[in-house]
Amino acid sequence: MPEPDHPHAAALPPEAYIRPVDRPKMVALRVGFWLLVGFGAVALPFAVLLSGAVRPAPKGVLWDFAMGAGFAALALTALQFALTGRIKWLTNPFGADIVYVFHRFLSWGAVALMALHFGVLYLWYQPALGELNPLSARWELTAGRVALLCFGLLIVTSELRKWLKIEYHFWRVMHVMLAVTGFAAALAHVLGVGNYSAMADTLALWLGVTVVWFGFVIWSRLIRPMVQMAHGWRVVANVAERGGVHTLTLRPDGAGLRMWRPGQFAWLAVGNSPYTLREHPFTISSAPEQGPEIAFSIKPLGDDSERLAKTPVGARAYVDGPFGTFTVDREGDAAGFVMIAGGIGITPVMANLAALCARGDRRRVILLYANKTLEDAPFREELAQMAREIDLKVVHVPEAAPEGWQGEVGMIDADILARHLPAHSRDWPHMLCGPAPMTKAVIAALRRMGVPKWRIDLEAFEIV
Amino acid sequence: MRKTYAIILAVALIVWAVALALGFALIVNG
Repeated sequence: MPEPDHPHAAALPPEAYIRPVDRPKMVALRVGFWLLVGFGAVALPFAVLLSGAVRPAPKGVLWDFAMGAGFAALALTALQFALTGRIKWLTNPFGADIVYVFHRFLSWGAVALMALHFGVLYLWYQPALGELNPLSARWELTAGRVALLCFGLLIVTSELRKWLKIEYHFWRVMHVMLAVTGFAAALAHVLGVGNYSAMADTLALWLGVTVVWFGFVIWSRLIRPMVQMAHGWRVVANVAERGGVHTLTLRPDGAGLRMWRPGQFAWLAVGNSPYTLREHPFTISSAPEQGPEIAFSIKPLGDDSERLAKTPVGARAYVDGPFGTFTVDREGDAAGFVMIAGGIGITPVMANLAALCARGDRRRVILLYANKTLEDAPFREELAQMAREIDLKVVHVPEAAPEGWQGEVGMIDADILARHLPAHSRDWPHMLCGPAPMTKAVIAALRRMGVPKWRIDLEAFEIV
Repeated sequence: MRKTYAIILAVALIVWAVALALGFALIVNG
């Protein structure tokens, strides 16, 4: 095989690009620390309740279990605000995409515990629940029912957003409103009922929880946008790519992105104010080496992406990021990379490849790239150019073959993978980004080929 | 892979929460 043409000399070995905090041992330590914090946060209410000078009076195991389920539900719910608060030092060891997956499943548990709390009381202690009619019921019990209703609605509207045809922006506004209302109602319920909160130390606990939670809301909805306001961005180019994709290039008016690694994503809001819920997560399709400008490649898929793709040059924008771990900058010890992208899932791959090009990285990269047609494949020419700069093999897999096409056709399956991935690539990182049906099928095929699970990295870019 | 870990972790945290609630009830009731 001819030696690839390297226009840039490899000045540094790949490990030199891995930040100390991204080295495996540090990532494991950070993950461990946050797990302890999470488990500790759920245990905190119980520790305070049981360590106080006055122990709660026993009212029967079932009753106290129902109360305990309620407190645990509240603790889990409070954690959700921390998880979704886009706190970089919390999300980065895990990857922000995966923190949202965690948020989703943890929410089910929190609502199940709330239902358990209510269900036990309803079945065994119905008189304690009093009247249902909010006009005549005790306000603190109505607050509890409102909380349960809000959190139940949060789950239903999130899990079934597409089926219910709820527009993404409307869903986000509703999600924040329901979460804030639900949590405020739950706190009012706990403080109002006062079963255990009447004691001074437990009252201090719930007031502390309220203050911390309120702090999160203030931080994410008021202070962070204020910081963003001081560091706005300007759209300096909007280029049409293949497949209807538009690449917006943004230049920072203030400080650019900090601690940015290739393949990460950021929330983008276009307009005159960062005080908006009309913002979307997009992969930054350029590499830090090409900064301080950043590029977002957006495919109009209905909803807001249509509007964002048409953003005029000169428009103001606000960027919150970077987030995510879909990056070659955590893989200093990898001998090579397998990257598998479907359609617009190519954007984090482009950022990673651009970084490898800029660094003159000599490691082998095999990219399998699926699209409906070859004509639709965004960045086809750029990829061909990159393949001349680094040791990159691009395998296009169009669903429909153009006339005279000699390459692969159809869906990326076990046969196609076997034809292009040599046996020694099994231990390389396999970076996947694309539509869920594609990535699911590819993961199954890779596993059958003997690729270890821990060597498969999926960017979960579509959550609701 | 990371997704599997996230789901396992969420389940672990929920089980932990239920265990705490049960432990609380048992301790309070002697």
